[in-house]
Amino acid sequence: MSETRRRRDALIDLIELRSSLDAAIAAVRGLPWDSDVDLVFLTRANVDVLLQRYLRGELSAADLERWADAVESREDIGSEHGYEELLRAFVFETANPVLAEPISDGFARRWLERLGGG
Amino acid sequence: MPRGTNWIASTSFTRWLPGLLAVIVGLSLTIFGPPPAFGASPTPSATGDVLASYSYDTASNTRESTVAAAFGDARARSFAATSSVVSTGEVSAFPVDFVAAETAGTALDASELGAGQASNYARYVKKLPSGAQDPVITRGADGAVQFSADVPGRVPGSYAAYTKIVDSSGTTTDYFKTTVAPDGSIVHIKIKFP
Repeated sequence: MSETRRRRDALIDLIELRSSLDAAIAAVRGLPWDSDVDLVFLTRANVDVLLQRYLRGELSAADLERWADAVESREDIGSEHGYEELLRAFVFETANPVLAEPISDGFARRWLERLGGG
Repeated sequence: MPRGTNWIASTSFTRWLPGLLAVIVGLSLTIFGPPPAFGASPTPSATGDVLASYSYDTASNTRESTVAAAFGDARARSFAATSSVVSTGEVSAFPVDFVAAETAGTALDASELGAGQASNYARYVKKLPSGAQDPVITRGADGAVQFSADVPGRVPGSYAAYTKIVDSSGTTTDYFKTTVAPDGSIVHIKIKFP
């Protein structure tokens, strides 16, 4: 498997949370930081799935914060075309509840509405 | 932990975190002597929710100098080198390569960067959160440069500083985020890379 393919798979594991959060974050933390191109794209659908899992109790607020912090500012993760600002705002607020608002059911539902279901 | 709880939310690691921190702080005090001059030594909060919190002399009363006070202490740097918590990316002090504002000298202009560093700077700016203030570029050791930009929080006075250190060839060597409360205290430092 090529290095780029391995890197892309690890990033997809994180944004889609295909594996456990701990495993996904650990894998991505082992990747280089620098990238001239976006290797994967965070979509509204990804966020929808994540927030639904939170609302079902499968993920905690701390899980969401850790996930967003791992995604935030990575050079190899882009955002769905046309929704870059919205998705960046979601990631920032989720990664920084101290600066925005605590992650709660209300927070999740408002973001689901803003993102329009992806 | 109930939903909606602020600060660093607890996960399973919080069960062993206070013990681990106690060991780290104990070892650091033994090796490096008394707590740094900038205020209280890094200690976990009573609840264990906050990994590191520092009190400061508020005489200077500016965000930059408040943060710089922590960066400039050699013992804090040594502490940082031994205190990385990989599972969460949180540490109790700044990475050792950080350029303290008080020792950084004159800020650089982006036009003064080498080609590799300029390319890196463009990527850094592109990926900053919306609302980021103009980045400050400072020169470090051996031709390295440091980019740092503050992103204000919703609560006035709070902010997150996104700081990246890039070597002379333009390769990122460190990226971390410092979250600062309205009173100037550091809520946490999260290592993004490596």
